[in-house]
Amino acid sequence: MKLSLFVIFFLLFSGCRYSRVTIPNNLDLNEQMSLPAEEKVKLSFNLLNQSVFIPKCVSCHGTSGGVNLESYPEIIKNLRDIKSSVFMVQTMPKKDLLSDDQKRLLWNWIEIGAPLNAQKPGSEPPPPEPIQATYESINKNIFIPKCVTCHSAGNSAWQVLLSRQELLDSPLELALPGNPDESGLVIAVERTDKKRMPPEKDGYSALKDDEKAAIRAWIEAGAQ
Amino acid sequence: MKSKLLALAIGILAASQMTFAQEAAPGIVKAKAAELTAHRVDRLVSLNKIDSSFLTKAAKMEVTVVQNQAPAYYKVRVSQTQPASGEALQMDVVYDGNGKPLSYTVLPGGSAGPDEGWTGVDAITLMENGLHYVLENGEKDANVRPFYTALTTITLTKGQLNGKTIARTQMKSSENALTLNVYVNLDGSFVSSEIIK
Repeated sequence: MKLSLFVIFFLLFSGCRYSRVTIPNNLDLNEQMSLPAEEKVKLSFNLLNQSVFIPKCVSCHGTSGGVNLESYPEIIKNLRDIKSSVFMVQTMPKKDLLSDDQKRLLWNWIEIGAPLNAQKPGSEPPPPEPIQATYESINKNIFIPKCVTCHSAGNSAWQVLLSRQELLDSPLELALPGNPDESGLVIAVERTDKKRMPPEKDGYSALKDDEKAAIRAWIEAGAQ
Repeated sequence: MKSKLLALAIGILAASQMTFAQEAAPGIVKAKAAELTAHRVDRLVSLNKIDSSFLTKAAKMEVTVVQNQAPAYYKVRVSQTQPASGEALQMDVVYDGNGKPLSYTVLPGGSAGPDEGWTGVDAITLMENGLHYVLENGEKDANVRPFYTALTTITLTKGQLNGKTIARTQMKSSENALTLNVYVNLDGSFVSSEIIK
């Protein structure tokens, strides 16, 4: 009887697998991530916003209904969760991970208290330029941070690429110069149903009005 | 004499160019022409140019190669089961060999049938997602390739698979007598595929 119980328990537990999830601690991370003091004094919200939040976070954490990371107050409100999800449990970003440099910037900015302004006067980066109705501006401010994670070679939406020539040549008529109303790109970003791009079902926020307007104006002006 | 020879040479050259133009391999395969039609229907409905039932109640697409009407190369006929009102409709969409849409024509005579009442994504998206299976596997899977290069029809019906309601996209090819069934969930996600005699 004892032997058979032993065999049953042995079989039961030998089938179980345990793995230990290692959560890094503050000290280890500080050692890995810490920037020199002369770099830390240059950190500001504006720098972090342009280097980390806009390119890596706001495509999902915008108006999609979940955590919003589009402004300084919202980011401060969610700072603990940001630190935890990026550095401790490492669940964010879900796609397009942060580079080592971006991680260092974020870690140090949080560690020095997430200041709005840099401690060293004059080290603030210039504010981002407003989006222009040119391909270069649209590519830099919309496609790269919000679209190419999927719309690029080797990724899920590789069949629809977003170079200027691809937009003009696509049989999907994505950009019809002078005709934004019938251009697939405009229709895709302006529609409000399930087929909107970026896709709501994947957690992405809709483009902002100024972004949509820039795409429309670029195509209206000939998509040069 | 010289001018006659020149005219003859130009004539031969022009005739050979026309022959090449007709025989030139298309830039896209038939399955891609059908998939582009799914996008085209969505676009035309978005622009309020065609009956919205082409999106929600599409039931069939037929792909043919257009003869001697360059630059037209493919014609895809879409049939719906029911329009918003009146008789069921069809639509022909004509493409060049690279998939650029050239024209569309709405016609009477759709294959009137039951409204499947798709509750997740629309009928055209279900067809499109079935075609994605063919586009993703047609080059690497010899069994799927006939449906990739020589697709003739794709029909959409509702069915049951393992006790679950699914959409069945059924495809035929001019290269064999087989049928490719691609099963798709009502939300458009892929379930499975099979090739049957």
